[in-house]
Amino acid sequence: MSHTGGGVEGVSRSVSPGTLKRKREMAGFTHSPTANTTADKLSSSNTFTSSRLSHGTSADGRTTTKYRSPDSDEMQQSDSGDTLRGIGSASSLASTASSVFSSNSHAFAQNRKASLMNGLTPLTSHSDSSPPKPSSPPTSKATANMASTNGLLATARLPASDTPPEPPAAHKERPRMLPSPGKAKGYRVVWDPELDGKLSKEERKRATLRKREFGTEKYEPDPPPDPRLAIPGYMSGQCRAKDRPSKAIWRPAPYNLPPYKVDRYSVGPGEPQQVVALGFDPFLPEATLKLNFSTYGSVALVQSKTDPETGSFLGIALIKYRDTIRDGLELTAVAAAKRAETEFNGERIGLHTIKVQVDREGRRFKRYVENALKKAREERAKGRSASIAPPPPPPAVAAIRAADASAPPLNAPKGPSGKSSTAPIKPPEGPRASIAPNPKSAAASLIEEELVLSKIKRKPYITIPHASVPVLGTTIPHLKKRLKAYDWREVRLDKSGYYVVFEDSKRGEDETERCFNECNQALLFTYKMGMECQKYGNPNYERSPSPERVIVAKQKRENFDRLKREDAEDMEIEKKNRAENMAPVQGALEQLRIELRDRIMGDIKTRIAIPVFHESLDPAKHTAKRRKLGLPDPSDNDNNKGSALLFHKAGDTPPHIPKGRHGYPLSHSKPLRPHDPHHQRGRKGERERDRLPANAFADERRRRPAPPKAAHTRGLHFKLQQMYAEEEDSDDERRTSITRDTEDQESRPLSRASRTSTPFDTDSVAETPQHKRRKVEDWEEEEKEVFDGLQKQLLGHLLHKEPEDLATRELEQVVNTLPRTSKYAIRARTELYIRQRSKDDDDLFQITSRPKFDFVADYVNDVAMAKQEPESRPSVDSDVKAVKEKAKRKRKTKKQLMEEQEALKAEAKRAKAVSKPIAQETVAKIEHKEIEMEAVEELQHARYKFTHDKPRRTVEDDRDMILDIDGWQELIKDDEDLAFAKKAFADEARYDIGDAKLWAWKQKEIKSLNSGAYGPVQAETGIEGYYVPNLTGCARTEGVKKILNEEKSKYLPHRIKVQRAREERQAQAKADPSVAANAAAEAAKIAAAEKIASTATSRSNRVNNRRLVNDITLQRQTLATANSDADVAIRFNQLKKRKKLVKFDRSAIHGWGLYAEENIAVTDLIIEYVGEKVRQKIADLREIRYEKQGVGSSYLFRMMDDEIVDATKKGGIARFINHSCSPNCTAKIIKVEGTPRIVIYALKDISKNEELTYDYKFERELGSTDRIPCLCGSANCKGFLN
Amino acid sequence: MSISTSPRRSPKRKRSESEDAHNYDTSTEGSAALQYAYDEEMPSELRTPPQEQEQDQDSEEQDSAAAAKKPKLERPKQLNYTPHMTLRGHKRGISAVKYSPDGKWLASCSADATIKIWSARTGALAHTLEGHLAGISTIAWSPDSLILASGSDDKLIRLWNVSTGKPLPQPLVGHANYIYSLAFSPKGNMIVSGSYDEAVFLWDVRTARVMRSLPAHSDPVSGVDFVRDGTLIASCSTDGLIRIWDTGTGQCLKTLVHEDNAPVTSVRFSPNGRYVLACTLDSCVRLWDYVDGRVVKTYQGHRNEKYSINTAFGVYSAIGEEGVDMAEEEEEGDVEKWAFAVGGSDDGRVLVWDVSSKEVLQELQGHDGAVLGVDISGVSQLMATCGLDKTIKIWKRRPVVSAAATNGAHEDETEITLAVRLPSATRPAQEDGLSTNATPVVGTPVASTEEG
Repeated sequence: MSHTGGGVEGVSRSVSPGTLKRKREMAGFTHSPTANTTADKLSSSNTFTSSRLSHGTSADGRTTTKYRSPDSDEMQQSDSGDTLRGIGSASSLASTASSVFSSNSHAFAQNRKASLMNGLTPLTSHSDSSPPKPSSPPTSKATANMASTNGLLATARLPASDTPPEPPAAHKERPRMLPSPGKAKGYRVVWDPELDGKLSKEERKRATLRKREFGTEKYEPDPPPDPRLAIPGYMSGQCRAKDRPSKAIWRPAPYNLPPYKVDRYSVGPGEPQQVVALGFDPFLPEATLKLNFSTYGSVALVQSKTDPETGSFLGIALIKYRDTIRDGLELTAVAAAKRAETEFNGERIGLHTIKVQVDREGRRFKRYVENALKKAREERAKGRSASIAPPPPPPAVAAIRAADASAPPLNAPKGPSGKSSTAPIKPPEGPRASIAPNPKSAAASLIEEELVLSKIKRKPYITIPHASVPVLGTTIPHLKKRLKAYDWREVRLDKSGYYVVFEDSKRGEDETERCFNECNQALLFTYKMGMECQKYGNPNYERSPSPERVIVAKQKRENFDRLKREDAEDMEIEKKNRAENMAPVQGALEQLRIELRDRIMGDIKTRIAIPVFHESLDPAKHTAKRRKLGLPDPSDNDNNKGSALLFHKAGDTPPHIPKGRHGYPLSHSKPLRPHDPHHQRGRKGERERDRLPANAFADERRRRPAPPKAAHTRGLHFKLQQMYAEEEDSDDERRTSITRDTEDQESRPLSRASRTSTPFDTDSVAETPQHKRRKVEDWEEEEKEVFDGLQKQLLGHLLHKEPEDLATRELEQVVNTLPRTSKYAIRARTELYIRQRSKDDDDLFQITSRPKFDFVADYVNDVAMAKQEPESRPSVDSDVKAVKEKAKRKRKTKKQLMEEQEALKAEAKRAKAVSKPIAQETVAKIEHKEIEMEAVEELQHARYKFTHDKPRRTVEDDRDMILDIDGWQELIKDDEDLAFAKKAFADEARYDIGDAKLWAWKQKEIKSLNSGAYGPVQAETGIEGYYVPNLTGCARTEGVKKILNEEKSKYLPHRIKVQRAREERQAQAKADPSVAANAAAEAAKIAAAEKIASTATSRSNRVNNRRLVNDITLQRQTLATANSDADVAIRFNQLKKRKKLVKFDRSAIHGWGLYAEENIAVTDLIIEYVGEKVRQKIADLREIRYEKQGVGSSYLFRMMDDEIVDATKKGGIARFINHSCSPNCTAKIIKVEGTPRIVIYALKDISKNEELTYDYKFERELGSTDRIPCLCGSANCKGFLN
Repeated sequence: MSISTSPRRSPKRKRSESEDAHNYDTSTEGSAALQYAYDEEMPSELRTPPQEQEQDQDSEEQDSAAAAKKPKLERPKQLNYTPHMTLRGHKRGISAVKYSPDGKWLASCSADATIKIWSARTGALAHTLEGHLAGISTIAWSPDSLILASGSDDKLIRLWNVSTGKPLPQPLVGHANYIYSLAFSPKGNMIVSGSYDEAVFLWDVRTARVMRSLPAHSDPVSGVDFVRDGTLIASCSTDGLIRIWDTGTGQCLKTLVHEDNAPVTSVRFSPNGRYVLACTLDSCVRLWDYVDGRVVKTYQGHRNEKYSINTAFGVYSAIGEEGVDMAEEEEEGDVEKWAFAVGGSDDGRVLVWDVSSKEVLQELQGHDGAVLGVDISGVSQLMATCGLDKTIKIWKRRPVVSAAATNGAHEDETEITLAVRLPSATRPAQEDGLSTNATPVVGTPVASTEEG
């Protein structure tokens, strides 16, 4: 045991890989007699041999020292200077011996038989692979003993002098799990004939016991079968526990079992007691290392490994703990190791971060060392093979010195030295540092031969030219570090300088710029980085075109060339032609000919064709044809046009032309200014349109017609044509909305502006009149006139025809019969007028187109009418009394009057009888005055003209006129009329009206107040709508009387509505009885749907949708448990939560009704019928009482046989729900928490404002007298409630 | 129960300058009623249900000062309204008469589709408002007395400018049947109307639009009224219900139903707004405490089975033995007042009840046919009645003339009956007088100063 080294010997630094065997040998060797004696003491009698054997083995061990690993040999050979590497040194041997192995294992390692004898688990593997065992108490004891016996460096080697002299009692040798096989210990009866009932006595006697020996069984190395494997499907994971037939897969695999705990019965290597530490400074003294690690427990051993080739420390150490008692507390090696790992890992010793890992068997340590050695070897090999001769490996001392000054690269370039050879050598920082390639060579290789610039292409980059920072490979990391704030991709270096390349993206470009802005002219060491930013990559880089592109370009060029060539050829040909046709006179003639032709054509058009055309277009010439085709006369239009022209010529602006800011029109104010088509467009025009009232009812989805054309920028002739059209369809055209405006502006092509301003915009011209025409047609179709009965009777056969098709006489009849306001009459009158005029014209030109009998017919007609007049007069006169009294008698035509004559006469007589006696002369006076007054009035409606064809009436009375004061004044036009009127009224009683003029004025005032019109009117001034005059004059003087339901339904709005719907349905049913029932239901459904559609907002839609979804789920549940009370109860609870909004209002069915205030989905609960719960008897009594009191409605609801809910006096509004034969709700009695409740729920989807109804389900009493009539008005109404 | 106002709370109404100096009674007596009707602090006794036994206490408390000053006056057991004028001119039955709030005018509406405005004082016809196309059932004055609203069978409500006699151009259109009852809100911005179409409409006067439609009844709405502050509306219908509505929300706050469910023909808030007075066709007039929803008093004695009659509230005070004029007493300002109610009858009588005691204070006879409208002038001792006999009668209150009354009428039962029957005794004479006055000249006061 030679110790040649310095003060650090005694602790073997490393156990180089592959030395395990040797260690064992040494351990064997180090077995001292004392240890053996101890072992003897502990072991049983049969261990004696083992100890003896161990002696033998240790002797063998000594002899086997020759089995050395090549490494150790090499080590011994190579580091001559490193005395610490003496592998065979005594200290090393001693420490190894003390460190690891138990005597048993030693013994076993040496001799398998011995180990079997010891009863340990036999290790089938070779000793090399056998796991090193943590120190077991006997060994530690042995170590201690040995240490003391060795004596030599015990104290020096183990500064942790607190090593206890005795191992803790807890760590006694583990008991053997199985007794060692030996001779039979006894026997066991396997079969006893005495106990076997099958045997006879004889047999029993004969038979002998069968027994089996035990204790001699060989040890079974096979482990007992895993009980879990008995579980079927355990391995496949498909198993199920028998008692748990759930779907879930039972996983007996322990996911969260606590980690395997080692106790004294545990077999196998115990818990780790040693840690491997790495990452520290290799030159850290072992003592400090030990000191550091001894804070976690008593360190038994520190092993620091050296490189066997170089002898340098690798910076990897194995620290082994041992059990101690510190401060009375037992501190186990295991705990210490764990603590060291958890607490010391990542901590620092000096500047280095230490990595600490537990290492149960030292394998980790081995692995690390191997790795480190491999790296070191590779490096060396590389260094040797490098072209530049690596500097000789620094001497240890130098290395140490260099390592001492390790961290900052002091030899980093300090000035523009430019010598790349002095690239800094980074000292190895522990094992990982050694992984790094040779810094020097790497640094040199970093300078790229090729110019970096050419490789950068489009990537953004920053150049730092070599002028500002010297080109040094080693600078790159520093530069990188310097620029670490920026997101560069790579830093490259060539002899022109550094290139910091960034990502080829927008972000990269931004980053480049940022980097440049912030770092330009910044310091790198002592240099100033003069940067050059190329955000868009190499400015000189040109992408080589892709082959396709090349081909395309080539083709293009070829084409171009060809065209050029052809052009040139054409030119040549033309030149040749010209030279041939070189005759200027000819050319001029040709030109002249062309011009002349144009001119003549123009003249023909303007001077001949157009006048002829215009003439032929004259409406007067086409009357006949027009009549045939049924077209209206355009003369009215002509008039309008003329006036409009005047209006326009006067310099005034038509109202639809937007005014400029100063009030004059935009375009016409300066008619001579150059035309700028874009001037009026754009914003101003838009604004103009915005200012117009937006049509709120316009459908936004509808495609809007094109915006109004810029009409004012066009010529006047366009204006004339468009003027009416624009006015006509202004409703549509101006229907604007702001949102659409913008859209329009976008969607409209820009070129449109110039197009609309040119006079060739044909579509705009053609479009509008068409539009107008269509509109007019529509309108005519829609306005189908409604004629009253009498008129129909008179003109029935004529009304179906167009007026234009009627004969003149028929037309006259129509005109005379229909009221003046009637559209049909107007048309007829117009037609009549046209015919008259054309006839006049014909007469003028001696054309007799009409047959004579027409005249005769006309004449006859007229005469007949004249005759009719005096007949009708008296009838009118006869009831003048009534007229005076009521002033507003209704009279339509004379014929009607004739019919009414008798009735009116009777009335007049009655009135006469009732009225007070009034002096006759007063009436006469009044009459006279009145007539005088009237006579002064101008006769406006008389048309004076000569008649040439037939005798015409001077005055045509308007028979539609209402004969009120104004009517009479209109009717009586001269003294003759007055005389006739007087005569007619002569036998009428007079009536005192006071001042006649005042009276007349008052009457007129009343009329105008109520009808808003002065003068003669065609429409009766009366009370609109339902009106039944009270006999006594007014409602209050009439007294209170019961109003029948039928009467009520004539004027109550809600009833009228229902009534109308009902009538509609009935009419429909009558029209098509086959589908009557269906149609009625359908109509109701559609009406409801429409109602929803019209009222539903987007919000309500959403609500409905949500509700629908809810209902679907609800219904699904309902289907699942069909009609069970449970789900009704659920809905009942739902009702409690969210009450449906309902209101009561007057109902058409009966009195009050309940109406939905929201849309209710089918099966939704609506309301509970709440009221007093009474017994049958009480209910009967109450019913009688209510009847007596006149409570018109029954609010009693039978819930059970003897339970009736009376909601009359106390109750909810559910009582207002009416009966209907086709109800939309139903009442259901459900039990909620034991008490029956009446709840109403929807049978259909009920829309908002719909009346809720349910079937009262009264018992039918078909023969009964007091049946309750049903007014529900549904299609399938049964007519009665009971 | 006595309705008394403390002296300080009855400020003197300024006499209008237009009235002549010798004007007989434009006294401000009635203004007290009006005053407290619009007073925030109403007399405390009106807050409690009228109790006869409380009467003395209350009056003592309230008028202790007056009592000290003046010997306490017994509540008269009768009133002496005497025929003052008979106004003729309407050609058909008159459905309502209303004094204007300022007391200057008397408006009457008739089935002949006209409204006549009479001078309340002289009985002269000021205007005949024509424009309705059918008979008029109801009228209402705006609180400023400038506008008269009329509801007619032609389903229109027209507003008339009383000073010009012309209707405002925009009628209130919306009812589906005859207008049956009307009331102006105290601020004059709203009109409530009841109609045969069973709806109660709340109109905005300025825009002539329906503000709110109250789904009120199942029969014609026979009467509507605003409470004095305009927050409540009462409506009644011949379906037997009286409903109290919140003006602002349109909520029905209370429904008053009598057990018998007799058709209700008129409803009227008491001046203090605490009760409603309702006529029913079971010949009863009932005073309802609408808060509790119970009948407080039932007045009977008339006959009302067919017509929709009106009622009116008035106040009376004890008249001294010497028969001092009301005006003078009012000047003194410490008169104890009691409330009375007036209602017509189907048989042509007019009955005056003491509100608290339910006694019939007077029975006026003079009309020939049902008396439909009664009104009491707020500012004078006048009562107007009208009826189917096309006449309007103005009654003036006089001191009770009978000696028994001056001695304390309550002591002698017979005297009271005498006194009460007094007008009936003079009825033939009165009628004779009226019939002689039948001249075509209309609107002149009949000068029926004859007294029994």
